[in-house]
Amino acid sequence: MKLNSLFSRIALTLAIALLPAASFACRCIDPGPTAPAYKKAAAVMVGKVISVRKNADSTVTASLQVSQGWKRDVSALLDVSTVATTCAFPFEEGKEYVLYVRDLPVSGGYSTARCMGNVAIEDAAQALAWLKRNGAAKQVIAKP
Amino acid sequence: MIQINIADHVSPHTGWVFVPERWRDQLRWARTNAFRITREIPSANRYFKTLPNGRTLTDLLNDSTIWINHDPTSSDWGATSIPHPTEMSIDSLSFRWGRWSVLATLVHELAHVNGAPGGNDKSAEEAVLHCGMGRQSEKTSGRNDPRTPYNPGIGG
Repeated sequence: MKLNSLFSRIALTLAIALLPAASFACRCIDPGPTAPAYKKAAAVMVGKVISVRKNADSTVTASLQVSQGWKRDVSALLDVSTVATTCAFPFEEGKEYVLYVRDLPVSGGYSTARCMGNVAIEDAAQALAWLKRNGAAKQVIAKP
Repeated sequence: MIQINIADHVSPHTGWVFVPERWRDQLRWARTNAFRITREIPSANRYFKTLPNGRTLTDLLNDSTIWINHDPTSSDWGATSIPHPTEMSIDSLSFRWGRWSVLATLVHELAHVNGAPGGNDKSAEEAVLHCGMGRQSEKTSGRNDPRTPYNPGIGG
């Protein structure tokens, strides 16, 4: 089979599938609106990145100053890791984000990645409005 | 030839394992058709040569040190390891969409193996276009055509 006919097959195969219109950041599907990202996350928070460190296994951990939380009580000072792949979330020191995190299965703590719905605070008006309306707000616990 | 982890390889990338048996045929089809692309679409090798490591797609496909793994925790299409750049994972979303999606992910990840940056850089996904799996109009307009595997919005 020649590739031009293969190309037609691509069209046929994928014609029935719909891609979300939102742009993607990794070879992954951005969850788009806030609701699916919220549903998939273990916790949601607004956090400012105090520092970023690279770990021995090439994962990156950001230390965050958390100001708001949903779904779970969260510590005011919290570490969130990201994967050591091309799907890593690019934390920037000093930047504030709405972050959707999942539990780290072995070591405990939280991790995040691209395509989990994370958004910089300056672009988060819609997400914050949704969270205010529909999210289960939880406490931000100051560490002693 | 690039290797599919069928439980004969321990990936140095933590958490990446063998490709489940039910998906291996799709992956073998994708690998075979990636070779076909190198023979039938000259722009594929030409484009890969322009990536930072300067290797052709043919050269990468013939490299038996490159391993295709699976990340059972991922709901994405795929990824390439940063500390171990010859290790990639092709994940559940690709397989659920079917073999063309697996082929597009394989090409995208091979572009990373060849040095294409992650993050918001688009050069890895552009390899999918140069391998005949997209339309130039998608790149020009920035609008995805859901009938092709290429998506101009994909970075990373």
